[in-house]
Amino acid sequence: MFIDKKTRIIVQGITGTQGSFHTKQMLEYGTNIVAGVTPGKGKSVVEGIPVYNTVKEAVKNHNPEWSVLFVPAAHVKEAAFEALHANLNICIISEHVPVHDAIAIIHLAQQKKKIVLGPNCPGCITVGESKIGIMPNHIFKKGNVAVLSRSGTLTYEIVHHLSNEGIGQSSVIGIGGDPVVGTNFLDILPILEKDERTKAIVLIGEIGGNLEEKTAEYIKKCIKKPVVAYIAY
Amino acid sequence: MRLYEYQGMELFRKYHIPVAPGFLITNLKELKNKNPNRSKPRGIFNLNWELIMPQQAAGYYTQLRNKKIPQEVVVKAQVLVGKRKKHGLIQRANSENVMEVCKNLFDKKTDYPIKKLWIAQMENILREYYAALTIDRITKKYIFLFSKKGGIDIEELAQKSPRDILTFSFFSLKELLMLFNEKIKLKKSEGGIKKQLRKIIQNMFTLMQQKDCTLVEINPLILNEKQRLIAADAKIIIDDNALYRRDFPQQEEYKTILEQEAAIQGLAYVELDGDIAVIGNGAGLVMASLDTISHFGGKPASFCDIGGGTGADVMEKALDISLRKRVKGLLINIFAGITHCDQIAEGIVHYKKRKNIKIPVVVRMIGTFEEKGKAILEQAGIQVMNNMEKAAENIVQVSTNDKSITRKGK
Repeated sequence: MFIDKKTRIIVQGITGTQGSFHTKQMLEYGTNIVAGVTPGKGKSVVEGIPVYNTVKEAVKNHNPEWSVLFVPAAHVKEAAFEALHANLNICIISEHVPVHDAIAIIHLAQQKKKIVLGPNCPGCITVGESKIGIMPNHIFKKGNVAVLSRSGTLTYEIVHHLSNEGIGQSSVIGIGGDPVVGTNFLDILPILEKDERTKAIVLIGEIGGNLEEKTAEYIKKCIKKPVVAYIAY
Repeated sequence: MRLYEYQGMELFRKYHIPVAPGFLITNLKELKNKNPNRSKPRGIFNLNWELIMPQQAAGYYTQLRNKKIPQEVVVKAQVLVGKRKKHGLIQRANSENVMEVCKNLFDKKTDYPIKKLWIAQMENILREYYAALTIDRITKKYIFLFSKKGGIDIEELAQKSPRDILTFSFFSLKELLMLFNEKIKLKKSEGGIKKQLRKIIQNMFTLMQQKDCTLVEINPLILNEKQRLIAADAKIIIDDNALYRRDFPQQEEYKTILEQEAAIQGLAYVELDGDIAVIGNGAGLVMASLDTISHFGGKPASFCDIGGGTGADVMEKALDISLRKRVKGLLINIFAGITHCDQIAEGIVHYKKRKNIKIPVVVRMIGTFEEKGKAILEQAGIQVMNNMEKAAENIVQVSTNDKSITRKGK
């Protein structure tokens, strides 16, 4: 879901510790990373990937569809706006993004008809094809169960269990743990219902807010595929 | 971060939201001796006393002190808990007994100390409304809530008669005002109020955006006999993630000493009743670890989340905080994505070398750089497990069997 082998991806904040480390991990998984962006670090190279000063330059030269953000919280709004104005979908890994910034980013994305994953999310993976974000590569196994989660590390825990039990995954999506995230369960479930690779869905909720309740109502009404949910309390 | 009522009142005043005249005291002497026109500010924002207390209130205070007015005041304990009225933390008083009422509130035995009182002029209430702005997860926008049945617990009202609460979500001030005009319906007799309400809500939204609030709530918003709308309470929550760009000083909150210290260190730590300390990376994973320990009959002593992408220093801080409480066992559960196992392992080993850990410790560690991390731990004689269930079961067993350790500890 969202991405496949061919999806062209750029990394904003690629020269940072996390940005460069996870660029390497994503490349190892097979993600088609075409460029990186760090203001002031243009013309350098990270893991063989060319770095640009602006998203605009990267877009002009590489024509990407997604950007994944490893940018400090205080700069996320600016970086996200830059990517959205360049018509990219964005995946925000950064934690501690002010909620007013998140609302502004999501509002702009809606106007531009672009997808926002996160903030504070571990990213998403189409198992066996492509991964954006920070989930550990080796825990996944290709199969037919989609995993949707508000949590980060608990997602790895559950995916790891599924794989050990021989239950493979189609897509795993961390929607992010913040109060307001760009894409939530209600946005993704209708797509999974139609996704041919997905035969069942695992949903991992968290305490706080009423998203899980609304999602349960929605599943009852609209989702025919089997759904298993877990909320730690 | 939640603000005290008086801090909210100060912000309301700054943003031209009408509030009842009032002033803050931190001890009884202030009520006796202080000349309100000269006294120094006590407010957390360090505003001038005049800003906290306008001329009108200053005059009122002098009159009250000189016992020249028989009118009533409301004395409100400044504590961060709800339902203050129910708990007797809001009292009526007059110039005769105000001192006594204040003394009783200062002396009141509660779970949290009462250090400040807000004394406000009593308003003659014709009507009570509820108005609030907050964040809506579902629409991913701001949401406005309004009710003509103010003054009561809004969550109760939402359950009992949701129809009495009007809500709509919006993104911009323009959208807010447009929807306000369209959706807020008041009777003809309330005509003048709508204009006042519109101004108040506009100012509430400006405040919300400029101060990064996640909640601005007025309950009750009262209509007095002069047909004026006045905020009789202020509940404001500031987004913790935005504190770096808003100069609010650190707030004292109702946390245990360890919890306060953990918060300063940047750790999410919560004390629980049991005897097995739990440290992990990610709130969800730690919550699930608590579940699993309980499943095997153990009782967690604490919840500690070191967050994502943190290193050895944070792990050491987490150990330091978690082990200061007397516990019988420690479970460390790391599933590394952005976190690096080797760094976490170094933190654990370094801490073990510095301090002699006497209780059983079980480490479960997998994910990014797991091999390196395991090697570091095993070299230091710490056993590492791959499976969360087994790790939880193991710590429950060893911490309940090993009675000798607690005895020695005592």
